[in-house]
Amino acid sequence: MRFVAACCLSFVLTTAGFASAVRADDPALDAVLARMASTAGVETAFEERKELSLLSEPLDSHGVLYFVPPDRFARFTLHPGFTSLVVEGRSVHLREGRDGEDTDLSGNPVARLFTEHFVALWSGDRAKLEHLYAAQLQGDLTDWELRLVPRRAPLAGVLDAITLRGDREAVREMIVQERDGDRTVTRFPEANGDRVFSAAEIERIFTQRTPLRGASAGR
Amino acid sequence: MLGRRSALALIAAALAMAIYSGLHLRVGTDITNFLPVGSRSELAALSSRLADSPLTRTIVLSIAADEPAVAIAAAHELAEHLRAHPEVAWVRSEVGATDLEEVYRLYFPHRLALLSDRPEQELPVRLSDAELRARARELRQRLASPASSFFEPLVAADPLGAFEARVRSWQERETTLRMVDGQLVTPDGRFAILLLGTRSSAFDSGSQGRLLADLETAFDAIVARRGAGLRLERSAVGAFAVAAERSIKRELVWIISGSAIGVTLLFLAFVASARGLVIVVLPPLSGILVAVTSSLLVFGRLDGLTMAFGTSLMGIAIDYSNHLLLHHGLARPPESPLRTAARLRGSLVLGALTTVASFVGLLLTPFPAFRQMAFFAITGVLTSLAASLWILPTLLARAPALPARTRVAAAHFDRAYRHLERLPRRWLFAGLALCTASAIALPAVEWSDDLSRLTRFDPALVDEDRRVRERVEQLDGSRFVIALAPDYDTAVARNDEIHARLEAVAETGALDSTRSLHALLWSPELQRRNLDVLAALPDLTQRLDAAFRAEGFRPGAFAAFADALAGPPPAPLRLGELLASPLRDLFAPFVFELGDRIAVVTYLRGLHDPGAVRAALADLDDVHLLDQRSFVDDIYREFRETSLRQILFGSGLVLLLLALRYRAWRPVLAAFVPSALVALVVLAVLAGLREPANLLHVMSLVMVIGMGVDYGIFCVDSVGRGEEFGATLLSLLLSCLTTALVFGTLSLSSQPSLRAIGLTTGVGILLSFALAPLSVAALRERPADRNARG
Repeated sequence: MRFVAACCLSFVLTTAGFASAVRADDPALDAVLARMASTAGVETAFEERKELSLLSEPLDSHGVLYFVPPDRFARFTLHPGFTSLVVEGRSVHLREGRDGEDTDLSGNPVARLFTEHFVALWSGDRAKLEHLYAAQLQGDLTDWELRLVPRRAPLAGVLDAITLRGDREAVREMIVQERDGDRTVTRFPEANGDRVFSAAEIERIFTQRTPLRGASAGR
Repeated sequence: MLGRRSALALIAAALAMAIYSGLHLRVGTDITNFLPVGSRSELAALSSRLADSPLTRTIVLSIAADEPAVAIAAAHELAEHLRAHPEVAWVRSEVGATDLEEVYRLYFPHRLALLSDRPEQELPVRLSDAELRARARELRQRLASPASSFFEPLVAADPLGAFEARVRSWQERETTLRMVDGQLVTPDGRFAILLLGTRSSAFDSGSQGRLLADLETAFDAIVARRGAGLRLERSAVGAFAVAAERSIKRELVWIISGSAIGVTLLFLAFVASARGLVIVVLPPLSGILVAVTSSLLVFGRLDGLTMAFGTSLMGIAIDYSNHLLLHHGLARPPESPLRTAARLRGSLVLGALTTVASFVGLLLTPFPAFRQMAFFAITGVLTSLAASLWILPTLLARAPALPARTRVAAAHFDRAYRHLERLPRRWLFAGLALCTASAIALPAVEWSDDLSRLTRFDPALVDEDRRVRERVEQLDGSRFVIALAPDYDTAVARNDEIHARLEAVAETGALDSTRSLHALLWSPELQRRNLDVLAALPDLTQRLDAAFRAEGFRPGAFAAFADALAGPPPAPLRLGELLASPLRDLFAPFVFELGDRIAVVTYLRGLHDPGAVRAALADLDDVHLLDQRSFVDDIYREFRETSLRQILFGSGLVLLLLALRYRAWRPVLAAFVPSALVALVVLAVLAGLREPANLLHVMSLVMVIGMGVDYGIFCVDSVGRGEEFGATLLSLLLSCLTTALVFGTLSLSSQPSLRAIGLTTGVGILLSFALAPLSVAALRERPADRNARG
């Protein structure tokens, strides 16, 4: 069970970059969710720092993320090694290394959980989020912080909290605090929350599973 | 004559048998009936059992739709329905959360024992300082990946990635299919795939038919709800069995109808009374009833071909009753039925015994279907004989007189024979010699031992099966390596060895790839060898820590790994444990019980050089490369050749019986020659028609010979007793036409097996009727012969 729980956790980490949440009677949350749901598309570089109990020093990585409503998402890690994680609906594909083998994770229940979370967040599915998390929002639409605390196992067993910070435009930072002390901070310094993707760009990202040339996150 | 009490007892017995047969009659088309049993060869037994194993019980369903997502949703829905079906043992359509949890629970504790399947060679290299450092570097890089989610929580206890490698191997066992939305789909994503196993044999056409019908109904309901061009196709051995049974049953209806109409018309022409027809048909019907009942009691069920053969028995067994009927009706002066029966008893008994003699050989063969046929024929013939001799006289006493035209026809036949007898003997011998000359065509007979050609399947069904198999790139199900072992551990150990050797063969190009249990489990001995190698590296923990520390890992981060290494190892992961777990369905295609032994199968893809594989496995006990199709064909060739020899043997028995009865060469030859010549001519006809001769042609010849001898005996006895020979010829004509009608309809069957029987027997019996009087006329002692001798 720990294995599955851990996998659940790690997928939540991945998705949490776009998490918003929720208290039914909070109009500020409604505004945040509505903003998330109304986006034409997201393109953002990310910088991530993992503080893992395994490692003596933090592990830094960076890359680029794309989101195309309603259910397409791609994350490309460009350093220290190349990886791609591409989600279309319930289809989840992973590649490690530019010439690495494509792995279809669609049948993986953890990957399924990931996609469900993802869709729930971006479609503004408050019921689903409230089912999983207790949420606390501070600030307003221009500068907000949302703390999500898992309500029950398996997430509650391994995850302390997810903290999201953002503004009117997009999520700017995500902090994931695990119960064993591991902590991951992901920043989205140049997020573009109104990105409109052309058909060719969508083809490149989600079919060829390659980041766009000249993506602002590319380094 | 039968008393009232005996008659009532017989009627009660017949009713009881009819009820029993009605309740228990199940016609199957079980291909295993055509495979030999017994200890003749281990491979034969193996092949026979594999014909009814998880290999043949697996059904592949392919679902397509205008939108792939609809196909996937329909597949989910259909899978749920099938999981609840009582005939379905398992359904495989996705990898579930339960599976992953079970894999972790079962495999993770054994990760150290599952590091390498060549531990002595690989582990010292893999655990060197340089390789440990490289592993640490790789691991650190991967921790930055989103995929780290899958392994990061386990790294502290498994820095070498043994468990992750096992999981990958486990997940890649279906290399030809991929997962989309939790559903197995074809590599191009166009077809959702469901795999399921049935509880019943693929050749249990009743169960398979019900399942397939339920499947269609369930899918139709899904189509009604979802539409969107949903299409279901399947690859199932059971579908062929069901189609074959439907075809045979359908044909049996008109075969029986055609036979009944033909026989009725014949008897109306020459017997001209319904009562007479009933009387004549009663003994053969009794024979069939007893044969069916006793076959069910002995074998449990009847094969479709046996049943078809049984219906044809009417044509053989009716010989006795109409022989009695016509001789009684045409007797001058009139005589009692008992007197007629007594007069013909010798001929009838000898005819029945020679028929039985020709079937005895079949009874001793190792093929269940042919044993059934022989048992059915012998039981039916003897019952018909008994009914003719002991029941028929009672009924004949109440039979109406034969019509005048029958007497006229008999007189014509008698005169025709007298003409024949007056012909110069050399002319008669010329006719026989002409038949004998057909022997020169024997070398041109083309023998076919392809078992698959005995049954004709709907081409659409064959195409559908091929399409589905191509979609899942099904491995060649007829060629595989199989290991037999007395227990699970030995079976897995043998499989380890097979895998190692086949890997070596694959490197030479003689084989493309394999699919093996080895991807899922190694033997306890191989697991122990891994632990032994680890135990021989006492400084591994320190070296690993140093290597990983040098790549940025925290000192002591792998304490869980060190603890596992230092602690007592768990008992090896065993097949029995896995088969008792929720993962057992994964193992079904690879492991199953075969009698009192355990069979482990390795599937082969792209076997280019069977000789290389055989050579690689030659010294392994109880390990076989099985090319089932060629193997079965070989068995059939052997059996056909044996059957041909048995014809000679049976003919010898018949000759012996005839010699014991007649004690003179002329009547012996006169009775025997027609049947022998018929065999030659039928084979020559097949050669002339370029019709490949198969096992069933040979089997039919055995039957024709038995019937042909009957005709010879009746002619010899009749002419020898100075009776009105026309009555005998007319009764033979009636029998011959009846048999020809029955078998003639078989020759119109779409099933090559039935057609072979029909063509051979129909042509053969007509020839027998023509040759019997010719042979008697040619060989019968004439006054001139007596004068010359005397």
